[in-house]
Amino acid sequence: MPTMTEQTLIANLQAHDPAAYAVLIESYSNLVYRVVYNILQTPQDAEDALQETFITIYNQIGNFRGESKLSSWIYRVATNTALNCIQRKKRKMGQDVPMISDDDDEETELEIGDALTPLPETMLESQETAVLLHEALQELSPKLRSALVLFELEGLSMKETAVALDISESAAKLRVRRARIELQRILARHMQETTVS
Amino acid sequence: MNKHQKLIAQISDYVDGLLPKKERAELETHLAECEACQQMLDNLRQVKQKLNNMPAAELPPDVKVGLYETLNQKLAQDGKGQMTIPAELLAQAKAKSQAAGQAARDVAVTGAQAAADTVKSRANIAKTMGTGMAGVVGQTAKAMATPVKHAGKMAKEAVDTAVDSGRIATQETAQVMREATDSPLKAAATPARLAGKAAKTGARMAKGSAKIAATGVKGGLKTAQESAKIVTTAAKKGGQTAKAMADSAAASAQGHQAVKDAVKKGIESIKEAGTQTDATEQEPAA
Repeated sequence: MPTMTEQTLIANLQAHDPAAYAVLIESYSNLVYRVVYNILQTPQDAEDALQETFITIYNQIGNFRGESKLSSWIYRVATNTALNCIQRKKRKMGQDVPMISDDDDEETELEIGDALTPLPETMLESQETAVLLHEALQELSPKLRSALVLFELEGLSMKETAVALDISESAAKLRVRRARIELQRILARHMQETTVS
Repeated sequence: MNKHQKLIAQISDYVDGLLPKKERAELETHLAECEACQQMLDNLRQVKQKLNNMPAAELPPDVKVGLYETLNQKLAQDGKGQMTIPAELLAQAKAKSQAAGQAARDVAVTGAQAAADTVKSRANIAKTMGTGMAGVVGQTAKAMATPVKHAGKMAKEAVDTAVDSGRIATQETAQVMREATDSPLKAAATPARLAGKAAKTGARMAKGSAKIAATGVKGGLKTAQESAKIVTTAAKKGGQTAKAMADSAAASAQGHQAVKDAVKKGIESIKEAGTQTDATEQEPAA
């Protein structure tokens, strides 16, 4: 349940009180920007998604019943906004993409071999690796990336991640696991390509 | 879930500290014996560590100002009051904007200077190459004139030799014949005398040929000297051109570095301009 302070804030936001929105911006704009930036990976898209997230909050706050923490709900709005942004962009580019909510990854089996490509010890210490990691994150599917962003970069608990992704906790766990193994596989491939070239 | 999938799940939970105590102990026993699972654990740990250390994206102050403005528009549409954009945030957005403008100007000026230096050094190369080519061409022409001059001299000497030998031989033959007519004694010796004169004529022609040959050798030597000069000049001018090109390359590299430094400095100043924003964001406005 939200604290009194949070309850007051929510009530004032629902009443469209300007002071409450100033508090909202000061408290959550950085968080929202980080999330949408890490999912979308470009500053321009992140700026658009930031604006869109806050407009959605403004329009939808009346429907918020306080069943989760305000921050969890904001994480969910931000994540959905970023994922919708990717969908729109792909459609605009004429790509036929399935709806991101069409989850099928829970049923896909993981092979241990995917996780066994060794990563060089020094690899993760170099400056270039930050770039490689950024590139590898871009290669992940949006829903796997979202799971990693919320759990690993934002440091949410698995339960909070599940709430933000609007999926069960076990599904969130599997998604984080798949995302990490997939990311490691992509990193290993990138490292191999870098070594060869 | 098969055995491998269960292991992956357990190792992943282990990395996240989510594995129950009993399963943790079992997994640790397995990890001590299984190299593949230990490798997977190391990999997942490395990826997790790197993700946790990734620098966080920073919200630019001007974007935050834009957010205030967007929500103010929504509030206005609903007939509500307006939020006051914090003065400090506006100042930071302005400072960042100015820093970005200054950085763009610095980069533009540095870039223009680098471009001008490059053009100048390229012109220097062209000039050096032009001078070098003119010198080489001049010397080549001079060198080419030398054998021509000597060939002319040789031809003249050959003609002179032939004319002189012919004239002397004719005069001497006529003299021998006249004397043979005048004196029976000399007539008897005429063939021998004519042979002697012919031998003398041959000797004169041989002398003339030796002179021609000497002229030819002299001309050849002169030509060789001139050619050597051309080679020296070409090498010298080539060296000057190479130096000019090296100078140009150095100027280009300096220009490139200057532009790079200007960009770096610009980015740092833009970052510095926004630093205080982050501090203020820790304290929500009342």
